[in-house]
Amino acid sequence: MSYERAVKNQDEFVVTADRIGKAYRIYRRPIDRLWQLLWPRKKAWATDFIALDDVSFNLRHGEVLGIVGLNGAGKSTLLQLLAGTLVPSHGSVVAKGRIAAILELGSGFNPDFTGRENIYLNAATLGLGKAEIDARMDSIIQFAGIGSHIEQPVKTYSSGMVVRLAFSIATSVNPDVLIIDEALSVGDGIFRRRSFDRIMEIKERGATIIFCSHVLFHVKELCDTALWLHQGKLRKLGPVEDVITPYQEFLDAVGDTPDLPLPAMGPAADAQFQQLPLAEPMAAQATPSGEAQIREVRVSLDRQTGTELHGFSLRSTLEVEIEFASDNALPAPTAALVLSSDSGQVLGSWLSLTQGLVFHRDPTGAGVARIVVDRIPLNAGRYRVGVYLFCERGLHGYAMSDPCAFITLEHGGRERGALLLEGAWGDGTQDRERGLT
Amino acid sequence: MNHQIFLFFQWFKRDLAGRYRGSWLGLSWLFVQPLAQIGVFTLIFHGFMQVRWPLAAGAQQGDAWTYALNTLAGLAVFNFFAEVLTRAPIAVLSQPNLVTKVRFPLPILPLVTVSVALVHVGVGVVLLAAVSIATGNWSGTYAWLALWLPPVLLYGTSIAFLLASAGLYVRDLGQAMPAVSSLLMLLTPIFYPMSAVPANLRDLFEMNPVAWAVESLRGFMLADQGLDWSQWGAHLLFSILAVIGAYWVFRRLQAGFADVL
Repeated sequence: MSYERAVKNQDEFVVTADRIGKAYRIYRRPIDRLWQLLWPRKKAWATDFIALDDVSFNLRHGEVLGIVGLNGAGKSTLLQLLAGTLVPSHGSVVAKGRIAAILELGSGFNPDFTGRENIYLNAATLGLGKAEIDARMDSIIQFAGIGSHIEQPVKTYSSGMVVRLAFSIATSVNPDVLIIDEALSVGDGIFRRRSFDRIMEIKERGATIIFCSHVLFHVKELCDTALWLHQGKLRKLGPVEDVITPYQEFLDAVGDTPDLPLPAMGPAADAQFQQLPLAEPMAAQATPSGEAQIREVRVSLDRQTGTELHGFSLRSTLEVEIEFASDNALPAPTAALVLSSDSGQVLGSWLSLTQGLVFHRDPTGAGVARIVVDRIPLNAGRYRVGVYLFCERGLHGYAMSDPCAFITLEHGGRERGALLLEGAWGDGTQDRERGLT
Repeated sequence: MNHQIFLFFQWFKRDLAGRYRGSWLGLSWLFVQPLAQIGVFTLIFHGFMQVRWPLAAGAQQGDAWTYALNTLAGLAVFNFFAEVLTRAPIAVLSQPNLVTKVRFPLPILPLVTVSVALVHVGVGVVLLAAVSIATGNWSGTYAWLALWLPPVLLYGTSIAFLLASAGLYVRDLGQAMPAVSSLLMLLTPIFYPMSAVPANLRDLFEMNPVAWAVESLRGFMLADQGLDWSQWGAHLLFSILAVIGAYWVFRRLQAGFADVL
C-alpha cells in the first residue's frame, strides 16, 4: 500500500492531490459567466454541478496510478486538474517537475507545415525549448517512422502517420509526470506495440504516470495503484488488484462490459486487430515485421473440418490449429481460443500464456499453435469459435479471426444456461457411506 | 522567458505562414492586397467622386498620387486594427485544445494575433518608404516611427486581450466585429483628411486613437511633420493603462476558459 506508506515521507511526493474538487457552474446565459468572473462576490449568477468531489491521493517517484470509472464519472476532469488545464474549485494539486499530458495528440498541428516544422511547433507547445527539440529531432522522426516524408506538408500524410508523429512528439518530452488519457491504442498494429513499449520505457525510467483507460488489463499490467471514480466521488483507492476486482464486479452488475475476460476483445477493441474474414485465411506473404499474423486457421470437431461443424455436448472434441507468421526479432506470440455465443458474448476462453507455453518457430518466424478441447462443456446450441494472437505478455493484440468457425452442439438433457456443470447427483447415501457428512 | 519567445515565434510563424502557404502568390499577397485596395479607392474617390487631398503648403490640391499615398498610410493603420478586431475574438476560441488539453501560456495567442496584424503596418511603411526613396523625398522624420509604434501596438494589444478573452463568453463578438470594423473604416480619416471633418465633430473624431495613429503617421511619413509631444504622451499613457486593464481582464477571465470551451 505504497500510497499510505508514502504519507510518512512528505518530501518524496511528486504528485499531491489534496481534497480536490471541481464544480462546474451552470449558467443560464454565457454572459452571466463573464459577470461572475469579473464580480465574483455576487453569487447569484449560477447553480453548481459537481463533477468531482473531495479526491485526495499522493504519488511518489515512479508510481503508476490507473483511474477507472464509468463514462461521466469525472475521470477526464481529474486528469485535466492534474495536468493543470483546469483550476480546481476547491482543494489543491501539487505536481513537481515536468508534466506531460497526453490528453490530446498533435495540438496546433498545421496541415500546411512540413512534419519537421510541426515538430517544432507542437514540441514547443508541449513545453520543450529549441535546444531540446533539436536534440530529440532525429529520434522523434525515427520513432514515428515518417522517413523522408518529414519535409512534406502534414496534409499529405495518412491519418496513421499524423497520429504516429504526434505520439512520438508527445512521448519525447521526457516527463517527470506523465498523464495519459486512453492514448495507448494509437496507430496501426506495429506502431501500437511500439507505443505501448514506449510507455513501459517511460515507466521504467522512473516517471510517475497517471492514466485512465477502459481496458482493465492495461491498468492491471501498468499500475501499482488504482483509483475508482464513481459519480465524481472517490469510490476506492488502493493497490490495483483491490480496486479492479470490485470494479469488474460492479461493471458486471450494471451490465456494462467494456472489458471482457480476454485482453481487448470488446467490440471497441476489435479495431485493434487484423480481422480475417470467415474461412478465408490470409494469403501467404512476407514475414511480418514488428508483429504477428494469422496465416491459416483449421478448426475440426470430431475429425470433421470446415466452418459449420456439428457435435455433441460433453462428448465432442474441438481441435484448432493456427498457422502464424511472426517477426523473429520479437518474442514468440501467445494464442487464445475463445468460444462465444452466436450473438458474440464470450462464454469461455483459454490462453497459451496461462500454460506458460512458448510456441516453437522456424527461422522465418512461422509456427503452429494447436489446442485440443476435450468434451466441450457447453449446452446445446450454436457457438462461435475465435482465435487471437497476442504479444508475449498477452497485452497487445496482433491478429484475430473471430469467428473462424461455428459449432452446433446437441445435448439430450434439459439444462439451462450455456455452461454444463457436469456434476454427480446422489441421494445422500453415497456421501454418508464415504463419510463426507 | 527564452522558451516563451521561442514558443511565441513558432505560433507567429504558424499564423502567418499558415495563411499564405499553399497559395499561388504566397507572401506577396501582403503587398498585392493593399496595392489593389489603394488602386480601387483612388480610382473611385479621387477619380470618380473628385475628392481632392488638400496640401499643407496652400490652396493647391493634391493629385491622384497624393491621394493614393495618404490612403495607403491610412489603410496600413486601419488594416492593422481591423485585423485585430476580427481575429482576436477567435484567437483563443479556435484553439480549444491549448486551453483544455495542454498547459500553454495563453496570453501568447492574442499577442500572436497582434504581431501578425502588425505586418500590415510594416508593409505600408515599406511601400511608403520605397516611394519616397524612388521620388527623392526621403526624410529624417521617418525616425518618429520608433516613438509612434509603442502606443499603436499597445492599443492593438489591449483590444486583442479584451476580445480574445471576452470572445469566449460572448460569442456574438466574433459576429459583431466585421460590422464594427467597417464602421471604423468610414469614421476614421482614411479616405479623407481630418481637416475635412466639420469643426463641430472634430473633437469627437480626434478621440479615436486610430484617427490619431493615421494622422500622425501621415504627418511624419508624408508631410515632414514631427509628432505632437502632448498628444503622443497622452496616447502613450492611455494605451499603457488600457493594456494593463485589458491584461487584468484576460487573466481574470482565463480561469474560466476551460469551463466555457
